[in-house]
Amino acid sequence: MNMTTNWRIVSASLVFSFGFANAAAIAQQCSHAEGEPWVDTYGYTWTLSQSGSSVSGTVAVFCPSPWLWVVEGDESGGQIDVTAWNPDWWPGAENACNQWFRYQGSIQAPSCDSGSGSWFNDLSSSGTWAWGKDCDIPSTEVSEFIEWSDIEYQRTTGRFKGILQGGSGPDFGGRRVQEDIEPGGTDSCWFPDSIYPPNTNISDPGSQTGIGTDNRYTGYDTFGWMEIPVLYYRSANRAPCEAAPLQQMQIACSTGYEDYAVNYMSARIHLNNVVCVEREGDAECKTWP
Amino acid sequence: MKVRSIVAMTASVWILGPSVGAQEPTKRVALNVNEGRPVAAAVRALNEHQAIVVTYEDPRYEFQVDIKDVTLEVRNPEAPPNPAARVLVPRGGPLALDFTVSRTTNELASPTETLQQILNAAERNGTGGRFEVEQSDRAFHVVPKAIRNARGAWIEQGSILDAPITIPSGEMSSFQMLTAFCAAVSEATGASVHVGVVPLNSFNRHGGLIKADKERARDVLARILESVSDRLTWYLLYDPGGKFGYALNISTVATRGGAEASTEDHSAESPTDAVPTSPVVIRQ
Repeated sequence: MNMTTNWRIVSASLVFSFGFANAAAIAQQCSHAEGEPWVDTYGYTWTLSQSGSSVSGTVAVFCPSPWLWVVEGDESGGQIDVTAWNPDWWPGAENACNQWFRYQGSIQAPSCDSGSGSWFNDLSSSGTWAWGKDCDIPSTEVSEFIEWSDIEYQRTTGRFKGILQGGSGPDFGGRRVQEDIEPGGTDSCWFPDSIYPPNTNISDPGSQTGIGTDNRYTGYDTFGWMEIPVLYYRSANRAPCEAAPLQQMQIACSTGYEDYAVNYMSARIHLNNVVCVEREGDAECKTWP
Repeated sequence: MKVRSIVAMTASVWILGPSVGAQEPTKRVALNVNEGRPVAAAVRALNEHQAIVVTYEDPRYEFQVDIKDVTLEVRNPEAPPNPAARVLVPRGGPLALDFTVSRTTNELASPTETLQQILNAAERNGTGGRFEVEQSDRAFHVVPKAIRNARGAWIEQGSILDAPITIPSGEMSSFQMLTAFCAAVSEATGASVHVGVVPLNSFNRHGGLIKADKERARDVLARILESVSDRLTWYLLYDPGGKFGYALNISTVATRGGAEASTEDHSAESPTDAVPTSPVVIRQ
């Protein structure tokens, strides 16, 4: 029998809209000005530290040769206001540089490695500035199991948070991270022609979450077998078995997303109705159903 | 991405010259798959290598020859004996064809022709199901058209996603939309449909208002996915054992040029030219 393929054109009708509680809700305010030094429009190099909202440090200006000025000010919610003081200024000095200048502006999330604003100085001059720096990248991430999901059909999945650590940035608040595929995962639950694809890779490349001021994810990384696949693989006598994909974590920089950690993930279906989830060493098990 | 060895999509050894009337030089690419769902495997290969979105829906196989019992093959030796367990999968088989892609971009010369080639090749095998392709604004949908009944005669079997469904208006996460969708299709068709493997983080974080009033299920599902990303497709796979019904699996597709769909331009401004005066000056 020769059955010809039919090609039908279907027009989509849009009758509802989306717009709440999505990824755009991620916090987008840089919480720190410290880390790698900033280099601005004028070639000045700012080396800053921050305690609370107070910012201090130095800026190497050209006056006319390189010279360190003292910086103080504050940063909060990505808004920065710092004043650089000439340590050698005295009233009436000739052939000396001006006394101070002040930068006000913002640091741009989620990369937090660039910023811009306006300046003015004690000579009533003013202008605009922009600065950038090498992107602060954590050296590692630790995982924290928070809870089992309470969403129907997901109650065999765990909610994790990552905590960024180390690297050049002591604080990554306001940054954004995303997950990507890292080859090398395994899935011993899967068998050829299963009704589910093998979970050898994370299923959500490009999924993002923000970083809070405590360096923790603002959202959850939910991971594990869902309920019906657990029943399916138990029914097929596959347990004990495990899906163990690798998760490449990346952090937002103005140049793109940079790798900073690979997490080992594991979702196990055990005998005796036990399921387990693990993210980079933090594991949790429960009896289900 | 790891590609299972049974799916091979490699450039063939011969190269054709420029197509007649075409601006771009082309070449032939071979596609060879051999598994229980050969059409699904071919669709998956396209989704993983081409910047198009193709969805796939299994038929519900009935003919014994189209089904394979793999209970003993798949049993984990560590698992306790379970005489009640019976694992059935589609029998499938090999599917081989070659098609035309751009020599410079590797993009399909004609996605519609390629998909038709795949379905024609599957039909020539004479086993399994028969499919047709439907095209919407942003995707191609490979849907079942016919199967062999228990006596081996070909009979029509349409897509369960052609059923009109109703979902009461409500705000919910995209994952909850999927579960509401599965419940609505199950109710409308009598077939059991459940959420299989999906990108959980994205579907948990996205959401909004959903409403469907006697609307075709496929259109509703397409809208749910589009609200999360334009890089998603679905594979609606049927358990021939019947116990688990349909699993609605959702996965990402390849991106044109490998670029991630995103985001904002975070490049720093360079106002140097516009700012001739520096903040530090020597007083004369």
